[in-house]
Amino acid sequence: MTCEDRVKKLPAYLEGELSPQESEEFKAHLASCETCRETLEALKAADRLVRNLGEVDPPPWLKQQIMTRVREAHAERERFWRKFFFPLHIKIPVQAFVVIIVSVLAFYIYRQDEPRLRMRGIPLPPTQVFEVQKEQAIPSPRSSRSKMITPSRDMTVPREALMPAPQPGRSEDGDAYTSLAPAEKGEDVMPTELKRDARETSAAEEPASAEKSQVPQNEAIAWPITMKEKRAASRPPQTISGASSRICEQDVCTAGELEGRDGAGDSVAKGAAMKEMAVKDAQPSLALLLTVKDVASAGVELDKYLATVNARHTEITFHGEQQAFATEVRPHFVASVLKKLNQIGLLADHPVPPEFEMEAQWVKMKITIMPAVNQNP
Amino acid sequence: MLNVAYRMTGDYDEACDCVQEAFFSAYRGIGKFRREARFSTWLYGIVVNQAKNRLRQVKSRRGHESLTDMHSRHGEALCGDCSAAPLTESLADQWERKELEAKVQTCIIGLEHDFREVLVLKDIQDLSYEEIRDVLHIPVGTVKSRLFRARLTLKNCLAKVWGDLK
Repeated sequence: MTCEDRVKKLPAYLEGELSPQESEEFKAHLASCETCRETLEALKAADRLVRNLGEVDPPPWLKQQIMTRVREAHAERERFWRKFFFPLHIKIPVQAFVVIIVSVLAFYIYRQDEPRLRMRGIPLPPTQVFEVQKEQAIPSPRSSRSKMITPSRDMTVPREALMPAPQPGRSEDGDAYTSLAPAEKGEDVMPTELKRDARETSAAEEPASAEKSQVPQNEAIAWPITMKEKRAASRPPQTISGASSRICEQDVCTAGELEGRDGAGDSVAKGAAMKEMAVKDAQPSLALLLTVKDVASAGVELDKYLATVNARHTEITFHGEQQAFATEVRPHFVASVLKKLNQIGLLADHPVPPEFEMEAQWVKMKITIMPAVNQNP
Repeated sequence: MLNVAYRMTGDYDEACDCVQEAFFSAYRGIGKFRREARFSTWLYGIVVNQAKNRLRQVKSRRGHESLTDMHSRHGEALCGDCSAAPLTESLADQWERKELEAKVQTCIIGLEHDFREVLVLKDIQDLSYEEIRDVLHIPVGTVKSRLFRARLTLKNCLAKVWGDLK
């Protein structure tokens, strides 16, 4: 190793980074080599000079300037957020936009999940359907009050219990599922289970209606007004033709409305109510029995289809494996609904759509979906 | 921090700007600070990087003018202004010390940047090898080799400008 090589290693030797063997060798060499010794001394001196360099003092304004810059940056950052959120002309539209977006999303999600919710039997916001019975003689407003009270009093009854339950006097045998064609043949197309359910429900309701018929008159007068208010919110009232052109509900023309007027208008209102009842009685209906392989999917499909034909007052009830749809469609859609039902499954005894009078604005349809296995075991 | 910046750049004003920028960068990037190393180590790293960037800007600004020339021109006065001189020192001694420091500073500035930063951190700031490794993100072996080469180069430079160093 030459002196030049050793000089390169001198800093490491000074720092004690050489191995003991190399250090011993260096010591021996330094003892004999004056040039290397001088270089070592020069290195030590340079090291001392560097280490003895004075500390540089910061100027007095440096700290202040740094803090000013930092505060400015902080304020600017705050200003940005404040600018984004604080001024009302920005904040309010942003919040309104967010609210609208959230509402639309919520509505969209609800609409998408609605069929599934129905399938699972989760109660949905009620769409109330009150039917005036076909076979019922049109009673006087006072005497009909007790009968009309029955559905309205049952507003607290669950929707499933209310809708499919046949009501007393609805048909001669108490069966709500009497289709046109089977009725002509005198056949009973109601499934056994449905019948049982219907009877149980009607039996449960009978005491209630009997009880309601004994309700004191002031209470009986009070409830339709409440019902009117409730229903007015969900459905636009119809105008009954008459001298005073009064507003009355479609199927419940209440005693309060009919009686609480002057004498001249009273008879007109009664007549209008009776006319309305007559129109309701003339509303045609269809009861259909559909056998399918998969009741659940058929139900979903039917529900979607009914929505496309603008069916109203659609109610779905579940009886074990069976589903019952009660709905109302326009007469010109009846044929397409029947066609759809034939596509979904096997429709019992209803190949040709019946013709309805043009006066009929809505046709009631009661569709019972049954599994094919149960039908033909 | 100012000492490191000054020894790295050799210009007092540049060093002040450098420290200012470094603290400001630290404020903005405080979220990036991971507690693996000490805060001062992290701050040293920012100062060294700022100094490097400043020197690059100055170099491009001054064109062909070499940094060594620039610092040899500015170094003496700046060192004299910034160093803390003991009150007991005579004027002659003070003058001599300033001159010496200016020459040392000139030689430090004459080092390559990689060597200079290691020398400043080790011999002036007295950081350990591990701390320098954390500041510069280089292995300890590299730190040592750079330091030894920096010391040799500095010794040669000082011998050239000062004469006999013994």
